[in-house]
Amino acid sequence: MEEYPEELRTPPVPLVALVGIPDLHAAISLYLHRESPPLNTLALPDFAKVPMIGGKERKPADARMPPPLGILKADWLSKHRTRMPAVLAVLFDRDQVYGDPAQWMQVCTHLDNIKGVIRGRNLKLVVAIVQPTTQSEVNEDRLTALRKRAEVDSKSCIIFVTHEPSEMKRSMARLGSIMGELATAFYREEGRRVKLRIEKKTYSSLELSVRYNFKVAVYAEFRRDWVAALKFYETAYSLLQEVITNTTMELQPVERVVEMKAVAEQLHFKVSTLLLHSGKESEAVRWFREHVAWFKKMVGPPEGTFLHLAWFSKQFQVFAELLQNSLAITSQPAALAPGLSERELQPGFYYQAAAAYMVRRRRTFEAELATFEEFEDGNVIDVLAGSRSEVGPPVYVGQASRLLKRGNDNHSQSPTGSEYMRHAILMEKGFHHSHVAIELLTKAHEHFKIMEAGRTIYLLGSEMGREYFAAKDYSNAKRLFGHVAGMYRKEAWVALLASALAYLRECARQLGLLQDYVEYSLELSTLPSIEGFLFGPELGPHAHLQKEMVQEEVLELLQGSTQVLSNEGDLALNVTDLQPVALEIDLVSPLRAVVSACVAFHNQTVKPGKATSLTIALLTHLPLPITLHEVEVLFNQPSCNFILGRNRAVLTSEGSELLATDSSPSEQDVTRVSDFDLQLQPRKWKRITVEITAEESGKLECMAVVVRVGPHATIQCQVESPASREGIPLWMFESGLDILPMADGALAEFGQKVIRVEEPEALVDIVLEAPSPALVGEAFPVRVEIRPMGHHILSGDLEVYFAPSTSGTLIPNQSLSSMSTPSPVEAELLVPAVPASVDLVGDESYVKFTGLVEVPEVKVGESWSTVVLVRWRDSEAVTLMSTFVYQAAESGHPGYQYRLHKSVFIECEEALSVGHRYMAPFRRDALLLGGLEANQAGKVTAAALALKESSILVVTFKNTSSLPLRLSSVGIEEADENKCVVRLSGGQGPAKLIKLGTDHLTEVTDKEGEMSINQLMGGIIVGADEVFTQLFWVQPLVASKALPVGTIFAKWQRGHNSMPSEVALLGTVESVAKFSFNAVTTRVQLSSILVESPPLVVTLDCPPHAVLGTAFTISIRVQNLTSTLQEIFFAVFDTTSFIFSGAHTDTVSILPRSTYSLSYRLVPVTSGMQQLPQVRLTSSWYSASFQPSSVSSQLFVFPSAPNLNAIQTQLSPLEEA
Amino acid sequence: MASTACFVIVSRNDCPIYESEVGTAPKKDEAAHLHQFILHASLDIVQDVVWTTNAMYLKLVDKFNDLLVSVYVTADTHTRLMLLHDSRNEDGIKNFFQEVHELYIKMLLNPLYVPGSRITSPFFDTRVRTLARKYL
Repeated sequence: MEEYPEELRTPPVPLVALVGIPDLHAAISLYLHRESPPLNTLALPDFAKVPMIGGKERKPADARMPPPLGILKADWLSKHRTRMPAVLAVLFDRDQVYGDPAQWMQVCTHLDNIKGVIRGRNLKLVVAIVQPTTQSEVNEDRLTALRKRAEVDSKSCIIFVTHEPSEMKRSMARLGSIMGELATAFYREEGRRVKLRIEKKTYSSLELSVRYNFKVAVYAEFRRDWVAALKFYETAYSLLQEVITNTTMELQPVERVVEMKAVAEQLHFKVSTLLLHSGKESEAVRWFREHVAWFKKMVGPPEGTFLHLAWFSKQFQVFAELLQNSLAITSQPAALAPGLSERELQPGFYYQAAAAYMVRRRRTFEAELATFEEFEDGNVIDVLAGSRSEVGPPVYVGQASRLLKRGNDNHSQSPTGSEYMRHAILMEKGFHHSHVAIELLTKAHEHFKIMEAGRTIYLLGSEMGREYFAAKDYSNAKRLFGHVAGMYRKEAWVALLASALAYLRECARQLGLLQDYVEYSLELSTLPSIEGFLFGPELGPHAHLQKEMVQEEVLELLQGSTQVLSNEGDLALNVTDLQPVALEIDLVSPLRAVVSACVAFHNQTVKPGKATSLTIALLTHLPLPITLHEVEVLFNQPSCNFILGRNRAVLTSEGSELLATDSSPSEQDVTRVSDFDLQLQPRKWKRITVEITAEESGKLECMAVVVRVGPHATIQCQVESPASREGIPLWMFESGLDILPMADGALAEFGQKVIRVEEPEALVDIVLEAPSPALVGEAFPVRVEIRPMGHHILSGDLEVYFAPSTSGTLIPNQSLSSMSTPSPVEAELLVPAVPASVDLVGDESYVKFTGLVEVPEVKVGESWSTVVLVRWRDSEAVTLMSTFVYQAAESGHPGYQYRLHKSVFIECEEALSVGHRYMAPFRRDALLLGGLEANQAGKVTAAALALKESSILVVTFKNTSSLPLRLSSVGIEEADENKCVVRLSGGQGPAKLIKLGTDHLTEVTDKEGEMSINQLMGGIIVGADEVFTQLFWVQPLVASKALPVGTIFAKWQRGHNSMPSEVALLGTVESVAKFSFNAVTTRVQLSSILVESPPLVVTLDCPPHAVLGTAFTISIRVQNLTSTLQEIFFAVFDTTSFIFSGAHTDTVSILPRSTYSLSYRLVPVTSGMQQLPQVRLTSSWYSASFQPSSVSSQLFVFPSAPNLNAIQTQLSPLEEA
Repeated sequence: MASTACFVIVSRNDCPIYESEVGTAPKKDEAAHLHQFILHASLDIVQDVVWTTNAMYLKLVDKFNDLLVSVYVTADTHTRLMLLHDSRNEDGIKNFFQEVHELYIKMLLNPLYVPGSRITSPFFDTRVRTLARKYL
């Protein structure tokens, strides 16, 4: 659009002229320019220059017009915009007008001259009298004379005040408005005049119609009448179409066609601008579409085709720019009119089309240039390329430049047809089509990028690439095609991909990139297409390609037998040892179609040193068979790598050959196997089965297959498992390729490229023995024995640890070492203490065990064993694990560490459950206020005992395990002898240690740890669920709310040493000793008791038995231990078994520290176990009442007095028997 | 009058599964793949337009100079039948698409045909060409 002249691109602005008083011109010009609508000003410095604006003599409206030489005059528009004013303002100084007659005469002369100049042109005149202030004397006569002289009305004769700013502004405004008004009037009259000529039809040629309509439209534009302007431009355009239809374009000379199209272009440009300016995008697009469609056929003579295409390209480009500018102004997108696609409202669409025409222009021109250079004599000079003095600009729009030296009239000055064409071709030759096309495509690309039209961008990319290629900018072309090929590869548009690849291949060839050239050639030849491909003419001789030809060529190149010339032959591509080719194909490479490899082991696991079968399947999609020199198979264990060589004579390619590798190591460290048929048929799996032997254990994975196709050309190809194989994208949906990579169906379905090489078997047995169940607290022995079953153990490490328990609590080995801190471990590992050991656990002869044992050399047939002790704190089953790591003396795997595990599950039980309770003495009760309160409140507190009264403590030991226990001693350790005394019941001896059982062999020594087995054989056996009970007296000596009593302890041991007999047989004497179980002391802390001094103690005195009918006395003694008088109310509940004498109810007072005895005389009337009358005592002071329990107040009544001696004599003969 | 027409079936994963030049115009150089270039670029517009209508026949979606692109999208598999043409025979194109769609459905009923794979059946090809002669 920039190449259009200014007057065409911008809307016309009315032109006015100023003359006289040049000092004011600048200010007035500036003001008029800023006026809305603006006016352009032509300032004439003095009156001598006035004839400049005079035009030629006008012809009358009805004059006959000769047929014109051209359609539009080239400079008409610029003439009206810059040289032909509509209004002329004449400025006279006040002094000149009102001055002396000489001055007045001069004014008159000037006016006469001006009138003479403008007479023919209907130019409007404005006269302004310039004066400094408004207050000036006015000579009305002179003014009238001036008006008359100038032939202007009073409106057009104004006073212009210069020295008062506000007045000057007003004067300016007045001048501006009158000039604008007159200019509009002038253009209207001019338009009307031309229109009259059209109506009168005084001419015969349509060209003039076009011209006049154009003029009317321009005049309308001058007065900003856009609608009328559009109408007349459209009329001119359709008249021009008529002109063209009336002539046969093919027979017209090129310059004539060019002229008509240039005019059409100008008219179209004006129409489009006006349409877009008024916001009618859809109409503009439709107008453009018609414009293009109409002129598409107007190619003209064939030699000018490139000019036609150039014109077309320009149309699109200019419209795109117009649309872009218009869309930039209107923010909201234009509504989509019916019949228009969304793309047509986008500038990108037109840029793309412009670029497409530019490409066609280049191609057409290249052909034209070839013809031209063939027939044209190189010495003929281009006359139109002469200097300015020789070549003048054209008179009419679109015509050729004039040769000024050839004469005076337009006809003789025009160049001849051949001269014109020569000039056109030579001008075109210097035109950079590709650069322009790329620029256009880049603009289109920007627009489509905004629209996020991905595929269209790729289309533009490939067009750009082609242009770069045409401009011989191969690296840019290669970059673009690289992007484009990726897209087409992804969406599998094969024909498009082939086109991109063909260009890429050529780029690589031109740039001398050997590897790229080979890659692109190979990819090209493996595309799934039936026929050859067609490409753009830029590729020249390489435009018509056959896959087979491409393959042959590239394979010859790889084999080194040929070379490819590059860059017009100055750089050759060839594969040598200095320039080897090593392609790498991974799983996403597009070259997978060239060679893809599938590898499957026949087994899932293999023992080290054993051979296993491996099938390698190779597939190519090349159109012709390819013979490989050798195939190298690479593994993650390099020792397994091998090379398959080719046989000399080609065997039948069907089937797979099974060949055992002889594994004879050659000079190289890679195994080489020869005699394979390595010819790959197109799209047919080549299967080769070999045997390989893995030496190292672990994973053996096939990594890659390296295929050698030439002496210096290799293709490394990443292998796939048949199970996880993915199809090649481009070939996935091609018919006829359903052959599995493996002949064996199961292998093809599940085969893996990985095999697990097992660890060598450990030939050692571990035995873990434990007499289950264990008991809490005892050191439970577990025997670990290591028996070699074929391996001679040189050295080893045994590790013993607890497995994480099933309940989820973890017993890590490490925490065993930190026993001092409380940890949730239920069990710990121990070993018998060595005398030197310091860190004893508690007072025992065991030390903590870290779990690690070094195992010495053990020969086959021998065995080694150790005992590990486990002590539980809580009854929970654990799993004891042992891991044995050793080195064997066997040859073959020196330094290999064998490893094996074993575990044993051990149950654990609680051994003893200790219980206790306190009881008051028989028929003696103390009033314990603390206890009463607690009972009333319902709280369960510590047992309450009376101060200095002896109470009974009953301790029970229950065996809760399933094993019999030997209880050797029980006792209570007093907490403080001075506060609370505990005695063994039935005697006054201390309760510290009570030996149980009768068969003690030796005395108890002080230190329990030194007890021998024999000592422990004593004690009593408590069977499963049996209870052993022991009574104690407890006498608290001080009152206390929480008095510690002491600790119950029980020393026990397993009832039997129940080790399996096998162990006893195998083990030495020492080991038997180690298997014996130690004695365990269970300690239970007695809870604290509440001790208080009782205020009252009630004692029932009663004989042990009574005889029917014999009277006896019972007395209830109430002891007042307080220092106050106590009032006791008592009541007796009678029973039928006794007749009694004494008070039934009464209230008695007991003196401090004294005892009151309440006695009753009773006579039993019934024999047997009888209930005594119950006495209820109530202390009013403490409001506590007491009634002895019915059990404690029962008495046996003999029917007659018993003869105890007779019973004695009856019993003794029985004992003797 | 010689007409240009290039017919392509594009599967749901955007790759062409059938392509044929069904026009009567003599084959020019590069024309075949130029047509495919245009059709491929039109997929951009198709994927926008397809969500704006319920109809399967999307009519004219794109133009490139005087070449027009009409598209028909099948409802279930989102397979696009694309025709690049230079004639404005809308009814004929619609009929053509409907008949080809029917043919394509018959193709899908073939148990040996994997949906989404390339259509290589010569019968299909012949029928498409016959339909093109009839309607375009």
